[in-house]
Amino acid sequence: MSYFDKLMAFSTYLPIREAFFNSRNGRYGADAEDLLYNGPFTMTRWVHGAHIRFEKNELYWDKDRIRLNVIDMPYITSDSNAVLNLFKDGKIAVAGLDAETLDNALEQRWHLNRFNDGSVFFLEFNHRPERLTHNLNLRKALQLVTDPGELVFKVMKLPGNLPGESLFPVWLRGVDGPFRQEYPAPQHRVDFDAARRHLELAKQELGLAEMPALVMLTGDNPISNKQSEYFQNVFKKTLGIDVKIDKQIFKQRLAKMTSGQFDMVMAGWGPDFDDPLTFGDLFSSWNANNRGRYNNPELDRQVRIAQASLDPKTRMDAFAEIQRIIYEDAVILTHYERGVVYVRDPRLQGVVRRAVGTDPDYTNASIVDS
Amino acid sequence: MLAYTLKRLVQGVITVWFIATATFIAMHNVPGDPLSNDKAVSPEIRKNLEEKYGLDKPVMEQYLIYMGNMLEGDFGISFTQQNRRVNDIIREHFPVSAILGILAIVFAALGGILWGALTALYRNKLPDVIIMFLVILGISVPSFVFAALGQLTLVNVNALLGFTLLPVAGWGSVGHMIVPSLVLGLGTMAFLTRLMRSSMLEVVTSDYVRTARSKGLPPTRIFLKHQLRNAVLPVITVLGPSIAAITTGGFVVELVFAIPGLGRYFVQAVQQLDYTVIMGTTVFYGAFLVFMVILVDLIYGWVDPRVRLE
Repeated sequence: MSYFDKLMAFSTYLPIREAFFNSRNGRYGADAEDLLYNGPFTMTRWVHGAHIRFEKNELYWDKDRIRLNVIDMPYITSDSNAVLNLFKDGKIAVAGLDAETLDNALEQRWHLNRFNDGSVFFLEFNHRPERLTHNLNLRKALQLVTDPGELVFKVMKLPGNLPGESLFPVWLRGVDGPFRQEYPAPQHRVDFDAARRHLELAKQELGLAEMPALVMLTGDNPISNKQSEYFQNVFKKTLGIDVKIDKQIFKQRLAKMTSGQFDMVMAGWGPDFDDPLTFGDLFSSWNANNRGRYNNPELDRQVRIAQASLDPKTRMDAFAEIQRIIYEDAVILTHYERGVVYVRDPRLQGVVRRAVGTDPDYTNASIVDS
Repeated sequence: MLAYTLKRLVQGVITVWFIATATFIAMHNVPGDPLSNDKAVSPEIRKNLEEKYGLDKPVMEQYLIYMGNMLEGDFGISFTQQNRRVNDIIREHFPVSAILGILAIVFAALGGILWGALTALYRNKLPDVIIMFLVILGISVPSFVFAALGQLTLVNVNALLGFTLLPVAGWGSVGHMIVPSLVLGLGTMAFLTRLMRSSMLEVVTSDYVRTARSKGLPPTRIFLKHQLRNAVLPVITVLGPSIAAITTGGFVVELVFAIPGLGRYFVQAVQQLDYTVIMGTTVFYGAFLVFMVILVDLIYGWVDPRVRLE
């Protein structure tokens, strides 16, 4: 398996010492003392929902490299305004920003940091035969009026997000360099006339005089609201297609995705390991995460090649083929690659952010005098 | 009094049983799967998880097991927080919510009684108009707005002073508690002010107050002994449910001020379909509400002897 070493860095495959696990009597991972540590820091305090404290691990194999003695997290909240207020008050060193707090941070003239967390977000179609979106011409019509650039720069307006061009994000590595440089994503152009022609063909194939309303399943967060309303407007304005937004909380959205109660769903995928396969096999017919039930023997064949081959070039060729099929068959409409924007106290240096694995990584972090 | 207390307690137990059963039925009928997540799991892993949480058994059997465990005071293990017992979640986080709630209710009750009495005494005069305007604000503006405003004010005050007068967020010292409890109690205080005002207006024009005045009693004595004591009865009636509502409804304030109360677990559990935490927190809060109502009824009987006779 050519990506075996990458899998070994995936947290699901990290080993657990069996004797320690058994000694916790079913409480493994429940509290700070119910975990074993071999990394640069150990958790010495965990007051649930309130406070986490890490201290330098004196038994770490490379302990001389660690320059932070303590990482203290005395506040735990998901309220972005509260986080920004704590940063303003000098109580925390890093604060994540969202669309709501971004303007406030810009007013303060702080330096913004950004990075892509590796995830790709898209509109996934329901390919079950009984659904209208099983029709390729209908999907192509919707694809041809979709402009990820407009979504990212005019609707979402959060720096850091990149317009989605492919299921395979820009950070993935190919044979010798970035995969997307070696195998560019298919060129996407918005074309309203072509879209209308595809829609007419779809109506003929489906035997419909008018296209019925399509159900767009979405989450109940502000970003999903904005996106779904934007696409509802675009599809109506350009193609005259009505979209019924079905807003659901997380678990109920998952249940409806799994049982196929949608025509299209706002979905996304984050990487597990550092190989294009972490995205590449998502729409194989056997993948349980393929909730739109897309089924294409040619795509399945390419996935098997990418899984089995030891030759990097053969594997990357297969991923390029998957990339082409997904675009040409309009399996999904890619929207954006997620960016994260945050402010950081300039005295804190050396924190590494990455798309796969431990993030953020404080192994090389230090406090420098300003 | 003992028979009355026992009767109320039995009613309370039946109410809690009903809450537990209704929650169990509702929870199992909400669409969604408690074991599902962003990334699908294999059938083998799913089977193991179902066994671990007892979801492989028929629903009726699950209900009986749950009720049996509940009688022994065991609410089970959380579905979403690795191996964490629901009892531990309640034990660690309820005291935080309770302290916050008690402080908020003390502030709300004292403020409500004082402002309500004042508005009644100065009916249709300037203090009445000003206080009632603030009361309408307090009732109509949601707590998250007050919470955000309160926190922003703290940030600016601290920046202006150059030192931390009061912490912006967090939990652990008296300083952490002041602003969140004020914010949490504002809505209830506004409600109690209105209640106290209307109750006080009734009392002010009553026969016994007129009699007291005609006897030549000093105004302070009339106010404290005859007006306040009688007017405060409706406030005491709503105080019990208010304590429970404030203690359980502090989710937004807890979120904004990064307070590790039980509120966030209560709300998150519903969103994540964490069956055991939903059941544990609902039954616990339900029992707490029932207990507070009974307690208030008993206090009411002590304050107004007619209740006992009835």
